[in-house]
Amino acid sequence: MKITQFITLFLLSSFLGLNTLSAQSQLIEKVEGNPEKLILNYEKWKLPNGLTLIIHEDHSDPIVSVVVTYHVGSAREEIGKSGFAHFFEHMMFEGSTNVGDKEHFRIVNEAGGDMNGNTERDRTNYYENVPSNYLETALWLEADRMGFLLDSVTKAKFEIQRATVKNEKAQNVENQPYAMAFVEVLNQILYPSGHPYSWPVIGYVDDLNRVTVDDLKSFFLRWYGPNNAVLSIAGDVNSKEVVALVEKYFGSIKPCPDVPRMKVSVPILATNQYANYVDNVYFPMTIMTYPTVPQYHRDEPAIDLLGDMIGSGNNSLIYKNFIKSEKAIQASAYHESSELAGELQVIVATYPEFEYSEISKGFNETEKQILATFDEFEKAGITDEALQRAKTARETQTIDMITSVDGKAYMFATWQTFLNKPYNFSDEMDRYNKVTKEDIIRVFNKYIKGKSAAIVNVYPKDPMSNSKDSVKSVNPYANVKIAANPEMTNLKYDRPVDNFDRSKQPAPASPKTPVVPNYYSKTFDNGLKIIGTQATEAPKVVMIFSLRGGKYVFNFEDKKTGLAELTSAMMNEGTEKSTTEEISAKLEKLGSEIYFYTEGDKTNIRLTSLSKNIDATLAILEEKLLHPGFIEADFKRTKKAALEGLMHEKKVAEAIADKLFDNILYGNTVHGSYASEKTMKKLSLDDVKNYYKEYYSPKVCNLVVVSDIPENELVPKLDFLKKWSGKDVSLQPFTAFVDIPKTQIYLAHKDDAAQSVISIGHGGLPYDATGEYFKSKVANFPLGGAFNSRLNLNLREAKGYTYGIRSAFQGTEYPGPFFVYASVKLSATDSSITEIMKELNNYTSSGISTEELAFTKNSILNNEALKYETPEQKASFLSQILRYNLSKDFTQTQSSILKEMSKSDADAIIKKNIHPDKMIILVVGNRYMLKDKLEKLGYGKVKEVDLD
Amino acid sequence: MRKAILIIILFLPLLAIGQSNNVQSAANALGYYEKGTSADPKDFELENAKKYIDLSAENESTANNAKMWYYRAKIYQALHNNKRLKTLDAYASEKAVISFINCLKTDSKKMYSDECKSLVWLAGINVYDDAIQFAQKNEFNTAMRYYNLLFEVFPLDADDNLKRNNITPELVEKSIAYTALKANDPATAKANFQKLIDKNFNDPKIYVNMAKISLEEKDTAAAIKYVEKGKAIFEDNTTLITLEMNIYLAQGKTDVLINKLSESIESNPDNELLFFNRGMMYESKKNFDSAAVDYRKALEINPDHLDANYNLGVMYFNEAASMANAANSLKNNDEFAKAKEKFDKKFKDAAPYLEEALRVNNQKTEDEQMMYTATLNSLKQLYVRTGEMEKYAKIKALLEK
Repeated sequence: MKITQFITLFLLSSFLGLNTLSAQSQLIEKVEGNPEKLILNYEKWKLPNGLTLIIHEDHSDPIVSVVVTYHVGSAREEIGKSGFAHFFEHMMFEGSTNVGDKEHFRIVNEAGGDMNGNTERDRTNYYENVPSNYLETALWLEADRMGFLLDSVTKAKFEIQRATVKNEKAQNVENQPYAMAFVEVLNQILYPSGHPYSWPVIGYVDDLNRVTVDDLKSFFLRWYGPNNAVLSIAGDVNSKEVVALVEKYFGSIKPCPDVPRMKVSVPILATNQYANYVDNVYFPMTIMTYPTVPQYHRDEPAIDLLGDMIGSGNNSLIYKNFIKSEKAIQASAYHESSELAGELQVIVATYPEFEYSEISKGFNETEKQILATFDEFEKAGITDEALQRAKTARETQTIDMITSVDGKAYMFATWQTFLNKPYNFSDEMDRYNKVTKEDIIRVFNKYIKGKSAAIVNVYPKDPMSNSKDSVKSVNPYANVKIAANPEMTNLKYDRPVDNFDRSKQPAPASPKTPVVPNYYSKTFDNGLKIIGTQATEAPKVVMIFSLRGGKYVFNFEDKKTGLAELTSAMMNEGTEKSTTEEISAKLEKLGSEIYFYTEGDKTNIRLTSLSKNIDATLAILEEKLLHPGFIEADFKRTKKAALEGLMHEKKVAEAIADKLFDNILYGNTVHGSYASEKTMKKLSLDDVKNYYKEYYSPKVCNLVVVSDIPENELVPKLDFLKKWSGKDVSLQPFTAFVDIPKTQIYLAHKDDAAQSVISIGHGGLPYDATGEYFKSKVANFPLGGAFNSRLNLNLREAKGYTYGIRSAFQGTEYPGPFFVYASVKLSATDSSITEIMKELNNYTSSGISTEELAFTKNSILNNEALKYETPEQKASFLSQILRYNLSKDFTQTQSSILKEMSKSDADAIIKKNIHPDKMIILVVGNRYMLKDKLEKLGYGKVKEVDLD
Repeated sequence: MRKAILIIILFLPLLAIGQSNNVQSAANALGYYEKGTSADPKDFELENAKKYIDLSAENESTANNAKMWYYRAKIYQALHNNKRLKTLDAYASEKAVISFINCLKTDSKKMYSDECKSLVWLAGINVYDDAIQFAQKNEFNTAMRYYNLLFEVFPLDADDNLKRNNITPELVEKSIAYTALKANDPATAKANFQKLIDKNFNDPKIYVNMAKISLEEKDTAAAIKYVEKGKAIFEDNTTLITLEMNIYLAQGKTDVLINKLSESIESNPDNELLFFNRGMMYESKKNFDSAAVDYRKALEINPDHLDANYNLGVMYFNEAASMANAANSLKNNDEFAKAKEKFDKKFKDAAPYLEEALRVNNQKTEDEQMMYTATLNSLKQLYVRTGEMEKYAKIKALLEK
């Protein structure tokens, strides 16, 4: 492009004097809130070093969320240097000049908060949610790692985190069915070579192996400056105080080099691009992706709604053509945009109905059917009702975001980073509300109809193949010569200069009393127990019904495990007077959800609704709960999905581990049973009807209600539930755990296991709120209940064996296990077991340390402030009270117990309830590589087990 | 003579048997080769197989024999796939495909047809890959021959295996078009680009290429037609937008271009390039006010637009410089003071845009490097004018560097 250049010389004029830079932050925007219109209050400030600060005040709970978003993700990386942004995210938790190694976790945990980071294509976020009296601590921590990180980056820490990142990839990508197709294969064909989205956020292993400490330091210096960051704070804060604290801690940090805006780069696919990928999966899967528009493009909302209408929910054509027709177990469509490009994706996991040699024909069929679905969508046209349903779903999602301070802080950070203009939740709603039917048709024609897509066909492994190899990641840039990037050279660290002593961790302010919800309770004559509270932060209703029963209503010999799940699946289908699609349409129109599911000994019904639509939603609940349809065609489809789902679970290491561990622990009792193809095949629709009749009873049902509607208005709306009648239900008693005379290793084989899943444990205690179970949970905290627990610091941080390890006591009304759980590097399976047992032995013999006890107390006591914020959290709290018949002040009793607990108390509990010499050690992994090594650990011959 | 004839007559069947023995020998040799392992690859068997099958192919009695074609296909396929023996025949993949096709044509008893159909697409992939290699080595005729061969394979691929390996008729037509361009054969290039246009092939480059070929043929009207067709589908494509601009500029039709850009802006109001281009056209007509509006609009959409920042900054700078030069000739102090106030303000208007142009310039191209130096020079003079000596010093240091 020719640019005209005009340069004119002229004579110097008089000297006018120097300008001075302002040292003060500038208020850029201030918005007063109007919650009814979804306008939330905020102030936007800019510091002289370029840091953008956004403050939203919310005094409903004594908590604060501090979010730092850096406008750098994998898209800023280069070929040959993939995974840097995510790797660096890990390094940001390894300490800085004034914050010791692992101290970040410890300080936040001890404050009772939670924290994490996550790296995406376009951004990296770090957050802390803490009691509001710890705001200054959180700011001190974030500022220290923004301005004072580099000197703490050592080779040792670097190597451990390199191993951890590789473990994370092995656990979350290589060892997960289908993950590689989404994370790597799809992007390689959708985006052209060299496109920033063509490599995975987590990176390629060879790039991770090649990176040096200096590479990462350069990455930090280039991108991690205040001028490339947004600090977003939401919660119980005062904005004037916040500005002063931010200026104090962040003001001296020097900016990084200027960060240009990324250039939007939407790929153009001239023809369909295919990739055929073999994975250790059961269902063949087609992933068809159309390139669309970047986020906040004027067409984005219309394409979002288009994706929802075509492929979300039981009224979509994708559901009808694939799931209802029993061609697929899962099928959906969805649109999502990132900063540089967007993707409308159709995913279909079909039942494996072709012979392996003919499987390509199956993929051809699926592709044709997807295209036929688009044709059908076009011919059918768009109704006002369908469009309104899609918009209502988006409205519900937007309202959900404002129920938590971290949701709000995150969204303000997002808008500032990518839009950099005044924006609020009302604007977000508006851009969807403005979409017309004509817009939907226009974007369909422009981006989908007749356009090319990237199509990944995920093949199950050939059953005739003898290959024992793990799923492979292939770096297409492996042989590319990497030229030095001048942007990343000659970067110098300019240490900030303070006028205060930053090395001192700030003391917290005086704690504020957590706002424990007030609640009301009632019991209807039919036995239904209700507990509820009013929560005014959002115009929303959350109701959770819990029916006690599950599989525990049966004897083991009845062989009916799986029936409870099948029944709850059928309760999600049609009713006596409405089909599944009709019911779904009614719910979608309201933006409501009613969902039945079974977990353990509970069948739950989760209802959510916008408050304005609660009456209509409850009418649908009445229809579903009291008049289920139990249609034969629905049953046939649901049972098929359940059966095929069991086949799929045989490929999922975590599912295998869960089932087998319980089976070994509880033996051949109903507690240890799991659904199998054999038992599932025998279940009939009559069984389902019978289960409903016998066990869906108000006599065993607890209902929790959280809503902005006051009690006197809400409870009368529940009167219809008085019509619900049912029998007494008795559950199988618990008899005993299987006796484990001495620690024994069990091994279950999984093909192509990239990692081993380890479950170690034995029988434990039933739940109690203030007795031995509670004290055991407290005592477990430093062992495996926190990030900086002994187990995690050893196996993840010191040895790099795992991405994460935890231990827990897990009891309900029934005694549950004590267990340790981790997914570890295949080659470190035996070493991991050695280390775990070493920690368990150590802990039981030496007990808790004084520092650990103090940390545990602080952590648990302070955490109470965070427990009552969202409707879901309030519901969880009330559910516990009702379920276990607790007093309102049980948390105060817990606090007293905790404060008084001594080291000897804790040690006694540990010795009494953790027995390393009588453990089940279950390993799910590659038996060919593991068996011999495991037998050398000194626990005798390994017992091989499997699900069949 | 009768004896000789008898001998010949007796001998002829033996000859035929001899040739079919060659086919069988080739088949046997192939079988032994396929049993080889990485430790013991038995390459010599494949060489033998080639020798026997070549003999069979040359001989009339077996030249049109389905079995011969079948084994010839498999042998040449194996030859192509063998890294050590590939150099024995540079056209192995072509011979494999032709053999599969001929086998299907001659296999009246359908003994080999199923297997041929299941393998011909694999051979087709090899042909496509080789065509690319030939084109890269400038062996254009061979490349074209290979590409065209694929059109005989597509109809035989009932399960769409070629498509699922990303080889489609459209891709081949595109490859032919680009190879033809490289081979200086615009007629073939045009013919194939046109096929793609007729099929609504989703690639803006085919329109760009057709426009460029038309310009080389001095057919500006056709060039404009292709650009407009391309822009109707790819309204954001910068190459098409720039090409259109250059065509009209070359014709001196600035007003027409301004109208075209205004039409494009109406349907595509988020495209900063359109505003920037129109701004440049206004500036070239000395309509500085309209130019400034458009440059600012471009910057509203993309604050990091280097050219818009630079052009707007320079436009204001030059305006200020002209005003300063004019003021220098004023004798009256009051008049000079008033004029100074105005041109000082104009310099200050220029400053943020020039500063931004400096900030976002990555200096990746020669043009950008030149622009960077020019921006530094302008800012140096500007800071002297506005008295920002600290900034002046920094700019001076950068210039000296």
